[in-house]
Amino acid sequence: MKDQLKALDSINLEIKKGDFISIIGSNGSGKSTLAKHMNCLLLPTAGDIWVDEMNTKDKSKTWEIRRKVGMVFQNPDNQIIATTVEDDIAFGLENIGIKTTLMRERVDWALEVVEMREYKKSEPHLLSGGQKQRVAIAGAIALHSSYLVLDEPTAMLDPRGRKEVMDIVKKLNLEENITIIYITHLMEEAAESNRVIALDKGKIALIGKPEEVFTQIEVLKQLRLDVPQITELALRLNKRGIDISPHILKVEDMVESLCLYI
Amino acid sequence: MFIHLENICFTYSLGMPFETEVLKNINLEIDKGEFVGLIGHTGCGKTTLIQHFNGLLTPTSGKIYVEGVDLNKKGVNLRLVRQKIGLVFQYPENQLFEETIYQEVAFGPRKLGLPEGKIEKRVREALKMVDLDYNLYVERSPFSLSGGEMRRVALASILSIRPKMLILDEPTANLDPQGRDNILSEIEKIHYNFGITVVLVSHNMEKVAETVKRLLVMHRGEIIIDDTPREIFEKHANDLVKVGLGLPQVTECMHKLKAKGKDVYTGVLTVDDAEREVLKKMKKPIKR
Repeated sequence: MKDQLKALDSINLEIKKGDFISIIGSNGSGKSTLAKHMNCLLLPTAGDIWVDEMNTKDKSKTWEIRRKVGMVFQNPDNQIIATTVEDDIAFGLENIGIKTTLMRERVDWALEVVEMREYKKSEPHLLSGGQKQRVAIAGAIALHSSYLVLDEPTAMLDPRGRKEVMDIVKKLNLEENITIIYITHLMEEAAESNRVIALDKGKIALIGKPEEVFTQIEVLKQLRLDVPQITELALRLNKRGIDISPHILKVEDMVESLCLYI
Repeated sequence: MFIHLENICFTYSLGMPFETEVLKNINLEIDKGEFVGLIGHTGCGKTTLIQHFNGLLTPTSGKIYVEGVDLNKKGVNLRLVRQKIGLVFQYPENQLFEETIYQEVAFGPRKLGLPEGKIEKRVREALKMVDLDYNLYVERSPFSLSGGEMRRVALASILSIRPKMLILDEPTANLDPQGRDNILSEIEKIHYNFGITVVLVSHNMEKVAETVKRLLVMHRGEIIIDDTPREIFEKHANDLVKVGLGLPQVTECMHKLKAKGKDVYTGVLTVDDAEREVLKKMKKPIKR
């Protein structure tokens, strides 16, 4: 095609089971394209993607991969289809032909995990944005997925909704050992993960622990990304010769360090 | 006084099973030339409130005056009011519909019945205000643009009506950091260069506080705080947290230091502010 565009360019990446990685990058950097490769929604033009030893190009494995890799998108209203919360979660299970009794069990378990059990009979449109996203997450994990890809799940939520979703995501990772791939524009959210990947024009521009990535202020600014306020403050004070670690990501740590000087 | 709200109450589905009181006795005055932020949790009534400003909604009780005119009096020309007060909805890119950007931005002036020559002038002027090059953009389809550009076109199509007041509902929602900063600086420029009164609705505390001069905080249908961002961060931080609105990290940091008995100023808005305050209060700069 005349307008062909290389959205991803020679990406090499390995995600370990149980990890919590976040992907940041400005609009058009390839974040969502990368995410969609993880459960065969897109297939690579060149190269291979393996999910638990299964190649996403192997058509006989497509459904198995999609069951293992759950996905949650940005707009909660686009992914809820049923008229009650529990029906919505049962939808995916019905599609893979789970027995009714087992289905009941799975739905209740998933709702329990996302702390939405009391809403199981509710109509989805009466829920808040954060609650809707939690229902969408429950729908994915009810299939017993081992990996969850979340594509800017909090972009349309207010601060409270964001916190609800982030708390659940952390819980899934720690308590249910679900591997998390979390796409976000919010650096405070990315700071919660174990590893941050910054994409730029389809390439991996930065990769490392949050404290390693977020201290690269100049690079982040070039990539048109935010730097967490507290890290920027730490770096500036450090540059002025004050003995404060430039790797500070959390407000509490900053307060502790500053207490020695003020 | 540009706009004046007196004891405004609004209830959705009045007398129906799902009756909800959304606005409770709102009193508010906004002067010409002000730059106001309106923040609050989802469902607190922000959007309902601003829809009263230009008569899109009629209050259940109370009065609204725009430049002294009572909006709910019989015979008031609401079209004129809506020319004065431009409302940019959330995700305004969803309301783009014309074939070219020119037609899109010309839609409002055309509806005003202006001659073609004047319409073109308005389109040029509006596109310039949002920093889109007239020659590069007019013939393009609005749907070929990036999210941030679409939003600027939507903004231009309101500006082409030459409103005196601009209300923007979550103008930065869903944009990446760069897109967000761009649109905010466009809005600042529009305010300062053209003297347009601006009301910015958002739940992005950090950026709004840096931008506006006066901040209204809404909670459950009431305006609970009305002050400058600095004063609010200094004195009402607890209230903000209580109603589910976070503080910027640097402000939170200052408050936590204060809670530990440190004598610091807590009305900081930016990293610059925080850096200055820390340096000022340092007992003795300890060099490594």
